[in-house]
Amino acid sequence: MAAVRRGGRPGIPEVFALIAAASFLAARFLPLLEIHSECPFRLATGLPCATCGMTHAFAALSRGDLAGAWAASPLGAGLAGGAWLYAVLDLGRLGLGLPWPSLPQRAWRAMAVATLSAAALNWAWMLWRARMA
Amino acid sequence: MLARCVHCQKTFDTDRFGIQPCPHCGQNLHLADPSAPPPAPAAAPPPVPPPGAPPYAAYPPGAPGVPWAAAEADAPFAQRTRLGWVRAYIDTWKLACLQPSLFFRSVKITSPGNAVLFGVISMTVASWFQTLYGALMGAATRGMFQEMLKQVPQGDRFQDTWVVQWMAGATAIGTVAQLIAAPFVSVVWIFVWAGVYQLFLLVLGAASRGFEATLTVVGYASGALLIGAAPVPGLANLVAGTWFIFAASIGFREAQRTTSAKAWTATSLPFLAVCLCCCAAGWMMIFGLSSLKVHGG
Repeated sequence: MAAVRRGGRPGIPEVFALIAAASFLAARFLPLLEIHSECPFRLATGLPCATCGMTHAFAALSRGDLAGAWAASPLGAGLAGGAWLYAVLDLGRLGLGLPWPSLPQRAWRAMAVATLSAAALNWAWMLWRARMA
Repeated sequence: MLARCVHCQKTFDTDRFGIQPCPHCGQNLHLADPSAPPPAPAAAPPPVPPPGAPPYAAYPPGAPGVPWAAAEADAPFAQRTRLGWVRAYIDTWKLACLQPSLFFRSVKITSPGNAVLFGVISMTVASWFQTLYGALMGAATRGMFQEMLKQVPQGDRFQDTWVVQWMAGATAIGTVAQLIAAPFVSVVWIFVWAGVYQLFLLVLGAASRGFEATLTVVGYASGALLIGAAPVPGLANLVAGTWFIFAASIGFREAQRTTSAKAWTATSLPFLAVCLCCCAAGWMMIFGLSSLKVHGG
């Protein structure tokens, strides 16, 4: 990650921060929930897919509805909150000219394992909830 | 300077180092710059190529973190100001899509911006062509789409929504919006998928060269998505997506200096997750089309 450790200059982290910020604007101001799209996997199997509820979670959280976001998808709520917090922190870091925190490869790997585990747990919980409903 | 092609063994004059096509046989070859800085010292010395071997050939994948013996070079697209945009793009496309093993083994990963720009151009051009086809076939597409939705469970919920108009390219505003949004969507697509692949590569212990390598691979491999510009809606995208998966898998193996198994696993797992939804959508589409045939007959 050598190219992103420098401070004060936009780089890869800032692109992700902009994408996260754009996701907030889209969730808050675009009529995403009017699309009325049903998940093809859910329609075919009756069960939610791994990313079901993400759009609702982002839209709900962008309106401050934490409970609604959590009910739609715990992972979506966490991802939306984390992404928007990251955008604020990273753009603040850039504004202050602070360097990108240097993390060892082991820490990145631990975060990746935690993220994928959270996604798997989220899907398991969604499947369990769908069966109970 | 005088160079010898490793493929046809003929000599030719050139004024630059790096990846370039042989003027005799047309094969791409990599001329290593002898004045380039040496690779960083490592605990174990890199493998020594046999005498007479090309600098990029005959190197098995090393252990993670072990420097590659082959010298790295800029992609032709990174030299576009000198080569010209069209020639630089075509040379890079041929390398990334037709010779991904050679290309990703020796391409520099320190300037992923070039790879992202290359991918954005490819995806944007493909998207513009698809939008053009959609606009040309707008009315027919919309009619067929609405008929198909009637056959799909809960498909009537889509009827007369702006989504149908958007997807069918039925409105001028929708068409213009698609054209304008294409490059921005492409940037987001490349970064998000690079992030997803990096997650899997990290978990598999196959990300020894960091996110820059992953982003470089995804950017240059996205050149394959240009195939989606072919006037065969549906099939062109399927071929483009499959080609991308192949190029990206080989690219991860070479650029991250990992094994084929890890590279293919990292590429396949998120793709399979998406496939669950896509297969279900495809099943519904086939179901809807077959119902149309029954009704039509």
